[in-house]
Amino acid sequence: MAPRFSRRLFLKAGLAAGSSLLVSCTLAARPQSGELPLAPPTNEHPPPGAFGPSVWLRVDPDEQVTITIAKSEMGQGVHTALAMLLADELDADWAQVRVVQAPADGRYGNQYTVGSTSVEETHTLLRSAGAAARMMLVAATAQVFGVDAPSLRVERGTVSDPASGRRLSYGQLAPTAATLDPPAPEAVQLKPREALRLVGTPVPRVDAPAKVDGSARFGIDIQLPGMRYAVLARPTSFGARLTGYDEAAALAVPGVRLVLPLDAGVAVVGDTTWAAIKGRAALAPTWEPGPHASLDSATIEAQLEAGLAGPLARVAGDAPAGTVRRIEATYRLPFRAHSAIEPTSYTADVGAGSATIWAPAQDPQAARLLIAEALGMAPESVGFNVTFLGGAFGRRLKHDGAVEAALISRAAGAPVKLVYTRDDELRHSFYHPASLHHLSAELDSAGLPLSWRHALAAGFTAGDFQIGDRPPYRIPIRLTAGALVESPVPQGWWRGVDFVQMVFATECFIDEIAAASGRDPLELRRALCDDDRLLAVLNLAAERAGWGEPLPSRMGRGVALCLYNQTRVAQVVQVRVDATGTPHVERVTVAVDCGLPINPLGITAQVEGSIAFALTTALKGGVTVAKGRIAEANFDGAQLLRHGEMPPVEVHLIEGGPAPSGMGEPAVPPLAPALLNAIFAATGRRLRSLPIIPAELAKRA
Amino acid sequence: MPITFTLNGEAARLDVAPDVPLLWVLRDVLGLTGTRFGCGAGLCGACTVHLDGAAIRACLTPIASVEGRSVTTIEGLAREGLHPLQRAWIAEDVSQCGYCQPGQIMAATALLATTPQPSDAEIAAALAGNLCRCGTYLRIRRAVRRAAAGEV
Ligand code: FES
Ligand code: FES
Repeated sequence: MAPRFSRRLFLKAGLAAGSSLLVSCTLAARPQSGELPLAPPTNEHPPPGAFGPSVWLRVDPDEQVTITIAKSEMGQGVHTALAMLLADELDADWAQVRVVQAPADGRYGNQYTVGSTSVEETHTLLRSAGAAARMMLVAATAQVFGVDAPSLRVERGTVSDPASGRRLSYGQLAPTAATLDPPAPEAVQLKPREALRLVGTPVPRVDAPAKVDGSARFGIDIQLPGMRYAVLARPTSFGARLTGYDEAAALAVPGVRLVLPLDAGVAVVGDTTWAAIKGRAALAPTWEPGPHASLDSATIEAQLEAGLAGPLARVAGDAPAGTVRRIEATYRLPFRAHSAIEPTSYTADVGAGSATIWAPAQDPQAARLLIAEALGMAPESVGFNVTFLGGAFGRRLKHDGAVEAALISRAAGAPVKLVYTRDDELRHSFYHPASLHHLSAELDSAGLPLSWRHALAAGFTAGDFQIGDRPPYRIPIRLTAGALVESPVPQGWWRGVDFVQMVFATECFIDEIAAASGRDPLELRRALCDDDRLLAVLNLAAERAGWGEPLPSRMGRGVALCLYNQTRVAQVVQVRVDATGTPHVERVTVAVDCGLPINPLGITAQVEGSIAFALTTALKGGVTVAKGRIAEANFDGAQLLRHGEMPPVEVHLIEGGPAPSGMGEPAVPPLAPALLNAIFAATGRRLRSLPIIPAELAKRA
Repeated sequence: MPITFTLNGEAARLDVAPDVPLLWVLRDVLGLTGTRFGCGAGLCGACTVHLDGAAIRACLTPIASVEGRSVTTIEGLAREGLHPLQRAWIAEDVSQCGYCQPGQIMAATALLATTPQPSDAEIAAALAGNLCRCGTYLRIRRAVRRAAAGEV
């Protein structure tokens, strides 16, 4: 199946294939960790005497413990966190653990890596796998020593018999353990909290070395002997139709081998990525612009406005008894691109009856099925290797490009890597839905809300808005309705999924209620919060942020909450707005309760990353639509947060429950509302859309 | 005409078209994939390498322009083991997805070569063109400070 690859092998193969390479330097051998994405499943080809009781782990006689992680590593630290859970139950010596990435394979269950679910979904399974293996190693020791299992002690990869002082290592025990039957599932006991020694401690990432020396292999880094490179000439507006192209001109570019029209565009295949890019430039395709050529952001805004009518009617109703006041506000969010720094790529090696794929995929099993179907092969005939993902943020749940790469490889009769250039990546992707939210509330004489009415219009996630819609507050009447607005703009998930839209609207609006009733925004949230664990993080963040302590003029604090599945986050943003209206985030104080905190170092990293991600939209905006396409083609248009723009972030943890929950996203949604609430506190100006336009704050200040 | 230059301390001689960007020569011809493609337009810094010790964008550097000069990539940054900045990166647990990090490290090593004790503002200015979508900026700054202080 998957050919094992080494750099040395590739260079030899490249030379043999008649490359013009005359390089005389030798390339130093690099640590093996970068090869991990191409490793076979843990228990295929084990060395003699290895103990591999499940698809999740293997103990080799040389003491190496291999743990297979089936979820995709996109930076969220899932290789480290999930391996820690298993290794802790196994009582493995962490220094002897290596982690490998599983290929797409149903034996691993659901590999869909989305919505911060990896930990919540698999922690019990992986801990049980570790615990069962430990029981078998103990049973093996009992057999070898001829003693009772309960009398033995397990410690860091060894089992000892205190009575006799004898001790065996897991590596020594592996051949015997491999002959034993696994324990019955009901006999497998997980450690109590106080017995965990790895989980809950700060553990450096297992992929850290490979990620600093260039050896970590991302999808776009895959190289195969004889491989060609492809780019696609793509439509110039949504729904444009190809009318012609200059094949001869493209083929005349040195290094261009093949031009291949496909549904998604025209593939240009070359000896290097550069040859393909130059060939694409020479191809000069012409397009019939199609029905959406005049679509722009203003049209979309009008469509959202129109879409709001139905939901507005559905949440309407008579004011409840005791109403003395009604307030309302409208919030807007733009389309957002993922902007992972690694552009999308798929590498395909398609032969007569089988194919092998390498890709940075968040849903590898689905991608594998798509490819198998397109090639007319059984899924088992398609090997699908998951590489490291150079950022993903939901982008890599969509597998556009997978089928194209396979078809191009088949036509080229060679392995092919299809690469998205940055303009492909920005303009031919799936965008988090732009949304429009109208909120209204009826308040009693104390200024407390008697009702909460939320009408929204958005793209596809409107149909699923229930997920993130529930404001965590005690309010007698809570009504929410959404409309799905059809759009030619392709839409998809993004870091934080629809909590991003919902928390933005609800956490801004609860602040407006507080302002309308003359209450402190923190006090109002405390009074209404209906979740004890959320209240605890709110109190902790407020205390650590110095909530209520006086600040100089044009400085303010804002708070927001996020209940994301089982994870609770509270953020306090402290901002200074200068005379030009530019907001400077001076400090972000975050309190988090993700239950059992597997790796505090990773949790903090995810909070920092989430804040940078959310701050990018708040300060720089999303993407816009003009002339039927995404207007931004590179990072000069679609700006990202830079060094020097990152605020200090403090993270405080509460262990509020026994089960761990996800941390890849929950700190994204509350940042923008906390920031806008802070700007209100600093300036008295209420902003209701993103990005923040400094001129507006300056003008009105 | 072949192009001759020094690559990671060793002589290299290549027969490639003069206008091919160094980025694609490194990645597609030489298999040195630690130098990354992000934008192809000098806007992200993922492709940062050293040319005669200074940080440059390999995506904007035609291979002909390195004739007779010395190119260092992330793979050749340390002669033995890891460079102190790479060790600092591990000590501060900087990487998330890791894709941008070779470029960040190459930019930071070039900074420390000219400014051994950079202020926070100097770090931010020198690395402003190196984007990280995962938001590792705080830890990068800590790692640069740690390396500058010799704590690696
Ligand atoms: S790829 Fe060279 S700066 Fe982005
Ligand atoms: S670590 Fe992911 S882009 Fe920087």
